[in-house]
Order: sequence, then C-alpha cells, then structure tokens
Amino acid sequence: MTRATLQVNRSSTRPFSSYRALQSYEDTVQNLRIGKHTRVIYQGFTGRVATGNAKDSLAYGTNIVGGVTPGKEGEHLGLPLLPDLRKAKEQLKPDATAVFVAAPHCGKAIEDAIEAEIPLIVAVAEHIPLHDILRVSRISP
Amino acid sequence: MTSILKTQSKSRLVGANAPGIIAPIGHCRIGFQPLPTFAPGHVGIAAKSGTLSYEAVASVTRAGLGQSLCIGMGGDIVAGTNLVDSLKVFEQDPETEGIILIGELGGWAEVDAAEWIRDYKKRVKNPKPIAAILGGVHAPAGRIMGHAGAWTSTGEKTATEKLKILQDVGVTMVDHPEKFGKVMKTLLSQSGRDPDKIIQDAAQQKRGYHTSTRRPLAETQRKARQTGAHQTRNLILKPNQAPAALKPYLSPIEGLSVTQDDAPQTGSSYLSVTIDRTARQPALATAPTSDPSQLRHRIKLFPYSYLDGPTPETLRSAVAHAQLDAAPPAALAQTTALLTSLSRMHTEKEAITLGGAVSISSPKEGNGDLLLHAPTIHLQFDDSAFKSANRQQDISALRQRETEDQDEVEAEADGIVYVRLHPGNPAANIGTLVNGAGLAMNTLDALQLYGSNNSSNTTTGGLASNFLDTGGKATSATVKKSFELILRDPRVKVIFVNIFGGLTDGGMIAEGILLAFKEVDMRGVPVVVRIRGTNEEVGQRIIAESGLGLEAFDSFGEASARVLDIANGSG
Repeated sequence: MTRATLQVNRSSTRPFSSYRALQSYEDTVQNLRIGKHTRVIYQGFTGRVATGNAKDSLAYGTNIVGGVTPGKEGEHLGLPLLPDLRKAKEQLKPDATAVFVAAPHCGKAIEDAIEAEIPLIVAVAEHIPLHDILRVSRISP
Repeated sequence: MTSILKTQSKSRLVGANAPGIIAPIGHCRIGFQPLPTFAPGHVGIAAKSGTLSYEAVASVTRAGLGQSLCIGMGGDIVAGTNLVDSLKVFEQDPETEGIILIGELGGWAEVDAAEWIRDYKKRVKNPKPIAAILGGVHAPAGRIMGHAGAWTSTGEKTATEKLKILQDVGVTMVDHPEKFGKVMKTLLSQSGRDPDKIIQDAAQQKRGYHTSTRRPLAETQRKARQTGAHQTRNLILKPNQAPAALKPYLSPIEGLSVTQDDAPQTGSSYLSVTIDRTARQPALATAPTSDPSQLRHRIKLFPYSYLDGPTPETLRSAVAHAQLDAAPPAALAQTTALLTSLSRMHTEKEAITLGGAVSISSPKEGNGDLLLHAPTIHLQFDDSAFKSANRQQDISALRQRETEDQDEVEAEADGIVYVRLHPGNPAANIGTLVNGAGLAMNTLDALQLYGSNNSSNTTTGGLASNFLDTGGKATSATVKKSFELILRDPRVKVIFVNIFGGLTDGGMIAEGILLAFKEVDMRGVPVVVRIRGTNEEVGQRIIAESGLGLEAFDSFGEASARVLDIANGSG
C-alpha cells in the first residue's frame, strides 16, 4: 500500500512557509522526554485543584520549583509564588508548566506560556473552546 | 502576539482535555493521573482516553513491566501532541521497549500513526512491538461520544476501518485494555526483548511508593463545583434555522441563491469549511460530488492559517477539486466567494463544520449562477465557546432542546453525558454507568463483542441500552442521578457499573450506588459493580459491607461475563 492510499485525501499543496513552520513545531517533540530533573511550575498555582495536585506530585518526587498566580507573590507550599510567567521564567528556569487554569482562561494561559518560551506546556482542562486552540496552533504565512 | 505554537520551535503543547504526561522512572508527573496505578518500567503509552490509559497502565503494572512514559493526547478535536508525535519520542527513548496506543473514533491520528509505523518497521531493524485499542467501534453514527473529538467527520475513517488499518501494518489490537499486560509480554518476547529481564529491571527502579499508604487525599476529597452551565457539543442547527444564520454571509454574494430542492445526483459539488485535525488548523473541504455514498471517498482537505484565512492558491485548489474551476465565470466567482464567506463565518461564529451541496442552474432555471441546496446544508458549532467563554450567545440560543431526547438533555445539567442506544430495539437491555468517555465507549464495544461470542445466545447479545459518562466532576449525587436516568429506560434488565477512577474516587462511586439504592426505585434490576483505580479498596469494601447483595468484581472480563449472563436470562 502506498502513502497515498493510507494518507487519503490530504492536500499535498501546503505553502512552503507553513510547512517549514510545521517542521519547526515537530522538532519540539523532544521536550516530551521528561524525567527526574524536569523543573515543573504551575499556572494557577494557588487554586484548590493545583494545590492538591502539587502536594501529591511533590510527595511522588516530581521536581516542582514553584508557580504563578496573577497578582500574587511570595510562597506557596514552601515554594516560590510569582505573579507572572516572565518572572517565573527568569527566576525558576522551568522546563515545563502545568496549566491548572479554568477552561475560559486556558487559551490565554497557553499563549502566555508560549510567549515565555516554556519548553513543555501541559493543558489538562476539558471544554476549552476549539477556536482558542486553533488560535494557539495557527500557522503564520 | 507573535509567538504562537507553529511559528516558533521552543514550546510543545500536551492536551488539552488530557490527564497530562508522566514518566514513572523519574517520578515526574505533570497532570492528574492516579499515581498508585503507575510503576517505573519500560512500556510507553500514548492515549486519547484518560480512563482507558489508566486501565492499560494497571494491566502493564500488574504484568510487572511498568511504564517509561505515558503521554495524554486527549479527547478534543485538535490536540497539541498526537500519536505520531508520541511514537517519535518512544522510538528514540532508550527506556521504552514496547508501545501501546489508545485511540478512538474521530480524526486521522490513528491513520497517521499507521503510516508512521509502516515506515518505522521498514527502516528499523528490530522495531519495538506495538499494541493498540480503539474506542467507539460500536458508537452510533452522528453522535458525539463524550469527548469533543469523538465523532467521525465526513471523509474520515470509521473506528472499525482504523482498527483494520492498524492491524494491516502489524499492530496487535486488543478488545479490552485489561489484556495489554499479557499481550505486551508476548510481543516483547517475540521481538527478542526478554520480558523477564524487563520486569527485573522495572522492579529495581521501583522506589517505596506504596499504594496502601499514599493516597492523593487532596484530590479525592475534592467536592465537585456546581456550575449552572454544563457542556454539550450538540450545536447543530436545524434546516429551518440555517437561512437566518447564513444570511449575513450569503447576501453579499451576488447571483448566489439558496434552493429548497435537493442536490441533483450528478452535476453537484460539495463545499465546506471544517477542521484539519493533523494540521491543527481550519480547512476547506470539497468534493466533486455531493452524493452521500461517494462523498466520504471523494472529499479532500485544504488547510489554511486560522488568522489569515484561505489564500487565493488554497481557494483555487479547493475549487478545482470540486471540479468547479471550469464553471462559467459568474458561478466560479460565486463558488470562491462562498468558500471565502464560509471560512469567515467559521472563524467569527466558532464553527466546527459548515457545508452544503451546490450546483449550477441551467439556462432554463437560472442564469448559470450557483445554487446552494438547502436540504444539504450542515452547520455545526462549538458550543463550548458559549459554555466556557460566554461567546456566541446568538448561536447558542438557536439550540432547540425540546426537540432532543429529554433524558439526554436532563443529564447535561449534572455534567453527565447520556446517549440512548439502539432506540426501539428491546434486545438492548444492559444499562451502563462508567466514568470517562473512552472507558464508556470501550465498555459498549466489549459487551457487544463478548455478547456475540456468547454461545448460549443469539447474535444480538451484549447490546447496551445507553452510553453514560459520569463526567470529570462526578459526585455521589451524580451517580444517583445516573441510575435514575438509566432506569427510566424500560428495556434495562441489568446495570453494569464499570469504574476505573483517576480523578473519580472509588469510595465516592460506592457511596453513590448506596444512595441510589436508598432513594431510587431500582425496580429489582440487578447491579454488577466493578470499581478499580483511586480508592478502589474503599469502594470495594463499601459495596461488600452494604448488605445489598451487590456483585462486585475486580476484573472486567469476569464482571462483563456476569452482566451478559443476567442480560441473556441465564444468570
């Protein structure tokens, strides 16, 4: 069976720049190789669900280094709490962010994480509007 | 805002609508997976369904193989990381010796994976063995099975077809995730990877994370948030609603008219805007025919940038594929304008699919202008834009609940996804109550498969009367409500409660069952219970001590056999 038979009905004419950009995102699969040393932060750190989740992950042995809640700064669960991702990126040098933010705000939270160049962004919420995800994923010409 | 996923190469997204990603060897968990289920080891798992992945994890843990890396693809229409992405990582990861994929109906991820696997087996001398499962083999057409992406769009392969495609490239398919442990041991052995050595190594990796002492208490004592708005994806407009919704987008196109006539058998084309899930972008989707029997084979996707809309080149390709490029100039212009307008509507109204059949009016009926055939118009929108973000109120207001199955509508208010199955067929007599869409889908599939293999009965054995996903925010009250809904269906002869808790707490489920028995008229219908996962011992104990004579099982195979015996009247 040839590729054409399996890969049915997909347009073969992608504009070059978007194909190149697609390749570039595909390079980031290596960021999925997490492990003992992966430095993890939370977005929505002081929320009830994030707090409980962080306690369990810490007990498990995950290398959580802090988190972000807009407008707050200080400490949470004995770890640094920062008001935005820019500060978190500077001070905590995270490899990954756990987005524990409600669905209405997840699209923005993910965009913020991309802006801050966090290598791995894990979004768990259900019911994020489809078009928020399309916007996050868009190909630039 | 310039740094969006594909324009840069720094950030990788996992999810959304997924449990996350976990590497048990390094004890790195990012997400809400149930920690006690996992064990450090050497099987990599990539899954659309969270609950089915927990089942697979449990089976692999019991087999002693453990997990290297588990990646949640999630149940949404567009996923940040798909099965091929995961396969690439597993290929390179020295800790991964065997691979498990968990897919379901909807989208191309499994077909893309099969293509990758075919190539992988050609270029690699001793490829890692791969096993898989597909949920939704027996899902009814036209329904969205709990997950936003769990439906087969026009042109996509069905779950059954995807299963065969994976089989054809040498993937070992299982019908229930309980079997993955045993199957993976066999496959590893066959590929020259000694499972005993792997098991030994996995055991050495294990730290003292004892399941009996460590309970994720903070998560299990979480109370569900009661919000007024619960989720539905059922926003498909009725034919009589389409004209008003389309008007602002069609009226500027001079010469285009909407006819109440059906599309002609020949000489019509199909034009639409939908989602290219692999490209993670919207796409024009056209075909040179609108004949339903041919459409799915002839339709082709032309993705475009979400922010910029389709380019002239993309439009030309889509129109040419619809074989309208040689149409008279006016009709050609109207076709291009229609596609452009629909793509604008798609973005502005947060649609999923907008489409319909067109033909060119003859000189007798018209001027050779484009006709859009009203009976073929399909307008489907993402209602979570309204429910989650309070956008698109006008579209959301068009939903006509009174025309839908009232039990299904009522279920939504509690966050339950309830779908009646095989309406009118009295042989559909097994009520199902499950946590998680993927597990709920697989429960139906497995019952039907085992039922049809049941030597003591007819080929129509094992039919469920309903699909029911309790939802991620379930409480004991939700469980009680689920029983109420299931029991309203007079066909139900037995209820199968099949739980593998991640976020869902086994103790909470058991309390819900007891509550139902106390406050709901159970009509003497037997209930078979299988509770695994978070707090399974608590749940199983509550059931055993309830004095209700409930039958509680650990294994799905045994539980479903009991269910089938009762349903077939031999139990």
